[in-house]
Amino acid sequence: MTLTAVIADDAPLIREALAAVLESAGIGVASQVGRADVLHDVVAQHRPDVVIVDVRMPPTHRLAGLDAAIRLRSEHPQLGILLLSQHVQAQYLSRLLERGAGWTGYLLKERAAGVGSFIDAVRTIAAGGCCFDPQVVSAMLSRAATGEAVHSLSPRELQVLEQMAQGASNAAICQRLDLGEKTVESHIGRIFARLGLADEPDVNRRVKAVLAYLDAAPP
Amino acid sequence: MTGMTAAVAAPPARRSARAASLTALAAAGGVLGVVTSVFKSADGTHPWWDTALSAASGFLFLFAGVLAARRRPDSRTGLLMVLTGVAIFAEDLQFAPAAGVHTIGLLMQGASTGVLAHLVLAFPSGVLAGGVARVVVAAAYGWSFLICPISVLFYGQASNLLALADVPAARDVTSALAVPIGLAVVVVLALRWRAGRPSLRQVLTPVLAVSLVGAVVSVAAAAVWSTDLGLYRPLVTAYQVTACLMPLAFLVGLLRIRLGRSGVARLVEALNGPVAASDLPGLLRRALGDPGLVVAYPRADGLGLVDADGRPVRADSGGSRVSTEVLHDGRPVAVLLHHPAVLDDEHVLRAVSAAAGLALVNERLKAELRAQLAEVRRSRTRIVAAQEAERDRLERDLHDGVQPALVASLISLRSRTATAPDPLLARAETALQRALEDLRRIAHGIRPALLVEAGLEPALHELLDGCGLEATLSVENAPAELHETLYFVVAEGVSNAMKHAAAHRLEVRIQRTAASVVVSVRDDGVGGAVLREHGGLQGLIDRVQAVGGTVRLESRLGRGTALRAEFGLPS
Repeated sequence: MTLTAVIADDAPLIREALAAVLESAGIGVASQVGRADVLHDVVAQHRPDVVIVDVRMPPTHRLAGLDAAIRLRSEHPQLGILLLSQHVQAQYLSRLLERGAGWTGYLLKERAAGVGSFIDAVRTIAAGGCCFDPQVVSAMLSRAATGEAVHSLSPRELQVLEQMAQGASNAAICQRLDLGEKTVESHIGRIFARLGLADEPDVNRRVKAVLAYLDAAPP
Repeated sequence: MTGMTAAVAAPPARRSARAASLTALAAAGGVLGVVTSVFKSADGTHPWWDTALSAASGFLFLFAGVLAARRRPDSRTGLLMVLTGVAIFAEDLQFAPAAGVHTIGLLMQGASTGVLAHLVLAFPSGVLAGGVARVVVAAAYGWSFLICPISVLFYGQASNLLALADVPAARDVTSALAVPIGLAVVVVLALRWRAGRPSLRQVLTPVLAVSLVGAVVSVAAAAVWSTDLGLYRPLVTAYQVTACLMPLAFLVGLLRIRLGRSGVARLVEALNGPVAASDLPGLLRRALGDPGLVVAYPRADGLGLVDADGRPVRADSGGSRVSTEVLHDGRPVAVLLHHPAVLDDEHVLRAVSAAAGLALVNERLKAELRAQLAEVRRSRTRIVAAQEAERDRLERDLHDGVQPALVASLISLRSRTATAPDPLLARAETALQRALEDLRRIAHGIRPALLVEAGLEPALHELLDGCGLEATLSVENAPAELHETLYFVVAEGVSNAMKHAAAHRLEVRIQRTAASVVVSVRDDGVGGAVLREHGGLQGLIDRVQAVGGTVRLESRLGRGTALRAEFGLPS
């Protein structure tokens, strides 16, 4: 099944560039909008798998994109929402993550320019996963009083969890941390056990583990 | 505007010349008095005490007039008193044996009434205040010099050279016409007394008292004129005694003005010592007995008046105020906005103006300075606002124009290099990436995007999240126009702590009270930072001062550093 996306960004150049990248990866672009206040209607009309939303947009030139995303999340729990920003705004993300971290991503714009990781993020989110920029993760960690369960993890397990928060698949974690596939799987298993997520479906478990890590919601 | 000042008082030479001519007039009046007294006693129709009392009142008016003119050379009071005395004697010319002189006396039979009414209502300044007083005095003069001479035409006696017909009622009608005029004078005087301030009342009380007695007695005399009760002569005598008391009442009044001037003396004494600017209006209010007095200063550029704080004052605000210019060296240094009644004590007003002149010069200069300072502050605020608008525009241009274009180019470039690696394109990509980072740094220095998008507190959180120190932040609500400056104070404090202080902990507080907003950044580092001109903090100080704030740096060796800025809020 082909994925479809809606792009919301007030800069036409960026909309076009992102659309070109998405289409070259076989993801259909149903619509492009330049204002946050029309996003809701456009999503209702096209029913995309993913919306890619710039945080700062007209009409306010403030957090209109984020506000639109929060509204979309409350109406479409399984709509993939990928926020793009020019900088980290960790403190406002928790409002978006109140209903869970699934189908949600937050990338810095320059990261979106890394074509491969951008496409990966879109696919992860469309499948119900989450994907946060490393800078966002570290900003949220510095603000969050991380729960006791997370503190009980070993340093290696924390590294693996951090990769999960960034949306990395098992294979990607193996590659990035230079670990064998079995080792990564056993780390992940222990993480789920420590966080009390042993019996949940896989995608859910990953997302909840990340949330526990970010302390944005209870596991 | 009344151009009344100590500086315009008559020069001494002219003043003494005037005093000399008044004395000469009084002397001539005295001679006239002697002559008419001789006529009157030779005439034999009047008892001696009548003649003596009438002469005494005339002489007393002459004498008191000369005294008054000496004491108050700039007031017409003395002249009017002398003229009253002369008029009293002129009336008695009708007792002259020669028909020609007798007729002149008849023409002058009511002369003293007009002059006396003028004197009473113009006392003590010598100037008639108010339209009603002028009308009453004009009526009195009309009676004296129009109605009385006309009535003479109908006095049938042989010695009257002007007699046209003999109408016996002419005398009665003429006398009756004087009654309402006399009553009007007393009523206007009483009203002046009631409206006056205590100092004016003191001066007017003796005159009012004697006038009231005189009015009652003369009305009573007119009432019994045609009866046989035998009361007419005693009442006339009583009236004559009152007429003798009149000049004394004026003298007592003048003496009381003298006493009232001790307020001026106290003012002069106070002005000899150090005077706080804020005390001056109070001193002037006490000296002039006008609690509502306002001191205003003309601006050097001639654009109206300002108060001691440099705020504009309207000279015509409230129609009940009268303005009097205070001159110093011929230049207006201040304007007193006061109750019209202050003009009754014109001499006190002049004395007060003269005494306060120099102090008012200083005050005017200070007020001018404050007005200029306020203007400089306003213009600085305008400049800062213009700079801010410019930064706004620049930030938006960068953020919404240049940056998206670069990001879009980078995305397109990468989508090509992802499929077909090319060293040249890779280099272009790296250069573009750097340009974007530089651009972000520049835009951030102009105005942090998060401050624009999310507000002060999120922007400060971001700032502290990125500093790598253990930081606490407490932010109370501050006015939006201060957000940017507050942000940059914290940014400076954080950057100092990171670069120079070797600090571990950082405490950032923004506190708001009714009158001010205080931001403080405190670290636990090595301390010893100093504020240097052209140093790193100077730009921050300029920025803070531009919005009316002050910066303080406390940094003792080993005690950490506290950077603190305070901004006053308009009340």
